[in-house]
Amino acid sequence: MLWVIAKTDFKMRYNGSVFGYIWALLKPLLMFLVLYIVFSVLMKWDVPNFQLYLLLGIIIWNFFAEGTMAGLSSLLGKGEMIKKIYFPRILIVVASTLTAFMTLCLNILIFFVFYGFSDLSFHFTMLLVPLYLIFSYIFVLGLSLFLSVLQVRYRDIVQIWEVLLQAGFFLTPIIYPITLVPEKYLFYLFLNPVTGLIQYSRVLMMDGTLPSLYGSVYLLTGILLIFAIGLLVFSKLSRNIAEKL
Amino acid sequence: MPIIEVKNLYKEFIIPHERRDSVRENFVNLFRPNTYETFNAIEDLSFSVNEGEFFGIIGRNGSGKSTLLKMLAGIYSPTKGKVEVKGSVAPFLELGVGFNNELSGRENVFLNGTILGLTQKQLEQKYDEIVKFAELERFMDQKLKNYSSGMQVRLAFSVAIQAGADVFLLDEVLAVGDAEFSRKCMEKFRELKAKKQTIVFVTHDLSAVRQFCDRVLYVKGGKVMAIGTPSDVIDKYIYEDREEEYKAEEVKQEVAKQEVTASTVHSGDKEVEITKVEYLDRHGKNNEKFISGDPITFRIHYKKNKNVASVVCGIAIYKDDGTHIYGTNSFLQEKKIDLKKSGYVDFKTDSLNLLSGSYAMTVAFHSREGQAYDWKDKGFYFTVINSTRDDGFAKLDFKFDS
Repeated sequence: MLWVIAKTDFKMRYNGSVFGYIWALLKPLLMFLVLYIVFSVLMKWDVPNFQLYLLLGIIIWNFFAEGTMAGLSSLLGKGEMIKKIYFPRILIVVASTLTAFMTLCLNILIFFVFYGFSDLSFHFTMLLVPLYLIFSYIFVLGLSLFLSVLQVRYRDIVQIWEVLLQAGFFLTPIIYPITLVPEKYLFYLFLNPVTGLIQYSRVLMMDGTLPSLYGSVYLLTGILLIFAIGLLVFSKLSRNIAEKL
Repeated sequence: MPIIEVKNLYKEFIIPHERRDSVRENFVNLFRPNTYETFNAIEDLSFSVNEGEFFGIIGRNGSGKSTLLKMLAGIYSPTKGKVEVKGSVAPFLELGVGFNNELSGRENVFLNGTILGLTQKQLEQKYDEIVKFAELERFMDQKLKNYSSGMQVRLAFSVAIQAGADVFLLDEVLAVGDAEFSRKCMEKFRELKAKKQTIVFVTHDLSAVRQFCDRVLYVKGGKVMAIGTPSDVIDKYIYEDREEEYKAEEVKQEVAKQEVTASTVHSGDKEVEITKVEYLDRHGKNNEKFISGDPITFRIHYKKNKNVASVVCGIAIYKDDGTHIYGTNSFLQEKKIDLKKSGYVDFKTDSLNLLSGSYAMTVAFHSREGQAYDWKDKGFYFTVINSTRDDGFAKLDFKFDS
């Protein structure tokens, strides 16, 4: 059932346009192109493999932003269904974030195509990347659970979240290399789990080394904590959701 | 063995006086708490439904029927009390849950079926049957938005009926589709009933209740008014507890009467004027619905505006399609009317031998020669509800013997 809803959502999202599924892939690529031109060609930042560094950051951030936005509005969007039939409400949020996750997986495949064209070689640490992608999914799902029930109650959550996402884009080392950040601010940067997710994926993917164990444990604990809170709030508030829609 | 058990169920809705559904509004009004009212949709309701039972729920609009059904379906959670359903539930609360206009008919069958709890494999097996029942073989690859609303309903119904649930919840589903399709639905229901499927059925169609249901619950103001066999409960529904509606009813009749004078053929010079026509049921109360076979009195109030040489009062009854069923008058029954300044005359029967349907009545005062004083052609209506499962409109009471 979960799979069918997610599949339909995925199809619906891109079916309306001529490019079809290609849109799902093109969006981060276009964003990458613009940012690459601005920062690499115009500002002449000198970071090794800046293209791939930037692309991976954008892909993961894109998943985070799209996933939470989709999850946030999922309950409200499927309101008609909720009011008519009972099934575990959590499936709706899981399905909508899963849709974004499918896009992420496709994008990562594209990333590998680009990787193949670069002069970087294959690292065994790459095999650990899926693990971090799953961490990202749990994080997005936890946030979505929390936000989606709140959105039903307070309809302007979506506007607030949009602003936060915009700020988050610049507070996360996506376009700028993390080495540019002064040491004393690094701690604050890593308070945001997306920083860890992006940075560790880059390390695994491109440097071929393992990210710090301490950092990974910290990251996973934070993500699981957020997921638990999301689940708790969701199960509490989703009980009377049919009446609020 | 009860499959559904409802115990001391309460459902309270909170109606805030001011709608605050954003963070901004709540922040601005941080120190001015919102006031609200509560509305009890369901109050201390208890009943149980046995396995294999066809269970009807009746009640007037706003009595809590649909809220109750939504709680049985698990969509609303109870404020207090317990709802227990052992087994899976297929709600027909509204058909076509999760239908998507941009997808084809085929894709929608799979989507809708999945939501109703069927697996992909089951759906593939039942797909042909679903399409055949909906009579939409030629349209399955078209997008749903190109379907007519009737076609959508048919498809939705066909999918829902295939969901192999333990309990079916039906909310006014008989009102959909054309005559041919609703006949097919009825047949399907009979089939389900024969298969000892548990069905909970909410409707206003009392003759359907009588036809299908084993037991009926009558809800009013969120409380149980009666529960039992269809004839007992329908009796209670129709004849009792009309006191408080009486006033509203009178106003309605007043309005109806004005409409009558405006819209129906109405002739005569009002030498004798019909001021009001009442229908009295077996309890002597004003009513407009009757159970077939019951005593009924038509009470015609008049006012004499002028002295007349002779007067005859007559009634005629028509089916809603205009077929003349019956007519009589005081002259034919060799009775004389002693006209007062104002008063009433009665037409009584001990047994209203009509079956389910709505009927129109003509009431007239005229002279013996046929000159109309006041003639209200088909100006009055009443409804009859079956007491048996007989078909047609005349209650001829044939008894089967072999």
